[in-house]
Amino acid sequence: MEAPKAPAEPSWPGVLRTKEFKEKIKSAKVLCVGAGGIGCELLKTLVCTGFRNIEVIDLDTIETSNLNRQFLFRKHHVGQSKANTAAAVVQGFCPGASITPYHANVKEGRFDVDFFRRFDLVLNGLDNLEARRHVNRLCLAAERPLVESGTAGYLGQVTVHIKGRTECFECSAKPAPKTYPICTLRNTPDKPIHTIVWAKDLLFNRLFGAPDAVSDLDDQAAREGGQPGKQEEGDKEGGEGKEGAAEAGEQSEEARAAAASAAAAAAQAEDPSFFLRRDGEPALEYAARVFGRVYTTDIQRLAEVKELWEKRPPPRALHLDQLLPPAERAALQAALDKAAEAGAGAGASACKLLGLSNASQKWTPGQNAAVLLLATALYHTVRPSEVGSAAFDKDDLLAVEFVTAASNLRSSCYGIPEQSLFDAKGMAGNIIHAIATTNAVVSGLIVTEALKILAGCLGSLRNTFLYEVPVDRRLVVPATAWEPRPSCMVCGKTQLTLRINTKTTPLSGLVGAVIKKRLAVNSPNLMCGGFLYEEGEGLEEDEEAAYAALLPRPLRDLPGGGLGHGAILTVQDQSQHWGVDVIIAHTEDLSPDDAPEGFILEGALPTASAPAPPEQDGGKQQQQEAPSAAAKRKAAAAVAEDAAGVLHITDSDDDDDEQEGKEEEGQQQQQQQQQGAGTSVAAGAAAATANDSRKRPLDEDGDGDGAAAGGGGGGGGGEERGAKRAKAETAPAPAEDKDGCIVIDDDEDD
Amino acid sequence: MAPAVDTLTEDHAAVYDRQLRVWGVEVQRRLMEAKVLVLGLGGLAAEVSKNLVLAGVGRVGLRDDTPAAAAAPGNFLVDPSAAAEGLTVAEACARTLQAMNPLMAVAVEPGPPHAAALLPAQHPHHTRHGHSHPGESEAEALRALLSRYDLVVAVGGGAAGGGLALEQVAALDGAARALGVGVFAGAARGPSSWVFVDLGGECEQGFGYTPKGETEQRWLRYASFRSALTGGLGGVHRRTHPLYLVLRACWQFEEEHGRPPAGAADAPAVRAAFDRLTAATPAAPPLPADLLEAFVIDGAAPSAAAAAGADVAAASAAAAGLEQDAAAAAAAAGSEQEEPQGELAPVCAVVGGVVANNVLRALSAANPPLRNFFFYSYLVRDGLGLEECFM
Repeated sequence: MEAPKAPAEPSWPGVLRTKEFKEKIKSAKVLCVGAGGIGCELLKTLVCTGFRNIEVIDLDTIETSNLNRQFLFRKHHVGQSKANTAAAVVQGFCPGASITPYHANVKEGRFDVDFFRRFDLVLNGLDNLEARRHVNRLCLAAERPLVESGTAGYLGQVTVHIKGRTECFECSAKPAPKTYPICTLRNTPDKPIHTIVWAKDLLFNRLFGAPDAVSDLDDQAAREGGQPGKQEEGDKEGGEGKEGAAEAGEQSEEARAAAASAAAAAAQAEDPSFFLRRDGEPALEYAARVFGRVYTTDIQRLAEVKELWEKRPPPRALHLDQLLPPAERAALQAALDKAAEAGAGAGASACKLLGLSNASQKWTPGQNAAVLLLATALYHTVRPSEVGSAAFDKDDLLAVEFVTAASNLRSSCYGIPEQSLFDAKGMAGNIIHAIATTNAVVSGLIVTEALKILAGCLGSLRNTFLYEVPVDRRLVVPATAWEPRPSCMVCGKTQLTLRINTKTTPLSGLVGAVIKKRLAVNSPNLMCGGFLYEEGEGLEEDEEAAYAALLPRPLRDLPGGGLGHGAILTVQDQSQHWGVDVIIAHTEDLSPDDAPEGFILEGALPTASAPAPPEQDGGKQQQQEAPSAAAKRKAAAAVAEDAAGVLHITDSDDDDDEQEGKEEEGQQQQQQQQQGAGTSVAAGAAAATANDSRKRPLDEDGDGDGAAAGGGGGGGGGEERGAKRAKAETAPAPAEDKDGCIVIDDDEDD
Repeated sequence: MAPAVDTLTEDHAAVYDRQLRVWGVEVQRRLMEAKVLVLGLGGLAAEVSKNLVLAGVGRVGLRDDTPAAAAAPGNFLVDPSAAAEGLTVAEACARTLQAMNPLMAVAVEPGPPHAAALLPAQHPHHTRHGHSHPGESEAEALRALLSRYDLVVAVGGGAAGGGLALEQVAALDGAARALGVGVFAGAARGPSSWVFVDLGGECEQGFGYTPKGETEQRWLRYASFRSALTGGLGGVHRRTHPLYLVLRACWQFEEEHGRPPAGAADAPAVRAAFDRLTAATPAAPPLPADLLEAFVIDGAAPSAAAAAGADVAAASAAAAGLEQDAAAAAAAAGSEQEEPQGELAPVCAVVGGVVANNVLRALSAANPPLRNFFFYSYLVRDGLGLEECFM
């Protein structure tokens, strides 16, 4: 970090002794986003430090599994608002404090730039990447300092984000959530998570879900099966894992070679109506019929697709009669009858009926079969109204039992280790490990940085990492906050290139998968020549209808000349005061390996007047990164090298609203970012960018810090859209735009 | 609700679900059988206690008979209503903690927040809380109390929080060691905090643990507090956390003066002791400005003016909440720079998390706990939290 421009910063931590600063703490206005694991600790640490004006936003309600660390909550609070309860409890032990709660989503329109401007400090204790990115953009627009945090198990991280001075939350790439190639899930699983995702997203939905619940996966299958013509909509993730490893790369050659035949076989085999219970069919017979199909005939059919098994053993089919002799199946019927008589509803449990009380003990194959049959039958017998509309919920015991048994049976076909109910629940529910001590440490680190910001001791700001065990004796490790990344899509100035099939992709696919999901845009406003598309508050009904009518149309057939090759789409989000230009590069031959979601989004150089060959640009631009920033990053990487196990937190998604985040190694991120730069400057990008005058994608408020590298340019926050756009268009092309790499992450909220 | 996990009930499995995913059933079971005594309940001790209770340690005993009205300002476990009810700090904390986790037991152990009873009878000073010297029976009572626990945490209590006299830490450690009871001692003082850990004898094999996923037991030897603070300086090097030498300088001051440093006036003498130590050390770490002075000042008892009006100031502070009103009231008596800051809440949160995490390791014997010091200061390398080992 540069030396402070102001001649004399107060001395840190000496300033803490002064009466003036104690008064400043008392009067400072603080926004806490999140009242979960980190949030509870943070509120406590804030009031104990002397903060008295705090507002807290959290949309979640309290659950039993929160009580081991969200220490403001008691059992009788379960089901109540976290924000409201936390505020009341803190106010109870600190009556002098004013805590204003909002039981609401931070992405609501009322939490706009003006709202954020009311605060001196914004402190995040969030559990999902999407909300973090949203808050990041609002803090940039409102020019308010943000302290960001996350935990996972024993690991913790606190980072400081001040516009123009330190990197913004989105300067560093966050790891993409793990997705699993559909043909791995369907044909060639080799890890427990593969069969769990299959059981949860494919089989569960087939049997109990809405008829279209698996269509996304079918779309993915279609793409991967070499049918690029099929439309895509929205999310296509298999659903799992946040680890961010690029698992798609695991898809093997032979699997791809076999994909066409396998997909064809699957299409024929998976007539969805087979999986529906027939009129008058006894529930257990239905369950047995499904078993025979899924674990016997389907596996036998797959085993015959020789191309798939050249490098791995083929799966072995299961036979229900061997696993579960008729006598035992009769016992299942008795258990089912008993449950039906008892009138067990939502609390029905196959495990309880079968006496499987130990959740951490793996079941035998026979027990798995019994649980599968009984759980399936129970759904139809005691919860019949949910069949056809059920969605997997990790807090639904019967659903977890079903998924555990279904995945274990499939695992046994493939020689994959089976899982206990406890472990399967964790994997299926994406449950983040969480303990109180880590959250407590992180809250202290957040408040430490908040105090420095408030005191104006900006030269003392640090990003801090908490390790699981001391590394080279160091357990709590501060690092100089990184400088803003000039090429940051959010706080810097850059353009993106979108490689997508503009003939076949409808506008809905662009809006859902690219704009909302990848770019984390909340209320999109898309402009390109004569084309305009908007969503969000304040639209007239007829406008909404007109825009909705555009959604099914392929990109290139949209009005105003269409979004074809070379088109430059201006994407803006009023609610975030943010925008970016996206250059469309029509591409028909996207492979599922490279583009599991059906498109590739990458950074592009806003080349000046003369376009340069893209490959060269990539390398060159990379080298041209400001030396000081490069040195800083290098130093940061060095710091992290000996810190195995320290993660850069990016996301957590325990869906039960924990505020903890998931981490990833900070240095790795930096490296990823740089490596990514080398590979992502794609052919086609430069061609589309040359000579376009709209090099200034950002419409965020650029006043104040505009001189700093990476500071946004463009219009003021509250201006009208058109004015902002005009301003953005006329702004000079930024000379300091340096690189072509943006690694964009996804996030996955349950 | 999930079925019971091994010996855990459904309630346990539901509440402890997320941490079971971190450390597993066996560790949880050991924690549920463990007993920890918390001696003294200042702000740092409140953090540690909260974390241990949430984790499900079977029994947490609290010993601090300070009136709730005079609780350390950073103790967020003391409800404002407790003062009016005439509760002690331990009683007030127990009420909050027990509600926080009804699946374990919180016990109030009568007695003061210190270990003065263990000091030799002829010793010229006793405690800075002004208690008269207790008889041998009190020492026996404290030993008996210790023997009922697996581990004792003494990280500051009473109105100031700032930690036991080092001589008392040594006496407590000696007694606990003889009984096979683990010790975590330390304090948070303004921007700095230190923690000492002793989990087992020099003659025996020491502390045994079995790393997760392994079957073979490993052993760690720990030193007594006295030997850790009086041993050779050969292990000190440029990167050693300077608080270690500051702590030794305070120890020497206590030996020379028969009392802990009691404010800014004593800082030069501690500084002189520090200089003697560094002179005897081939490669002493640099001493950041203010580190030693702040450590001495912030660990001192509140100033005379504040002490005289302690009840009033603390009562009003308690009534108004948790803040530093008591310290602010006291600030009138001296200059800002010389007035003790007491415990800083963010430092307590950081160090309280680290201490609790390592107490849990010590209790579950599944991973190696810190050996044998932990230091953290805003003034040292930007707030680096460092493990140090001095035997």
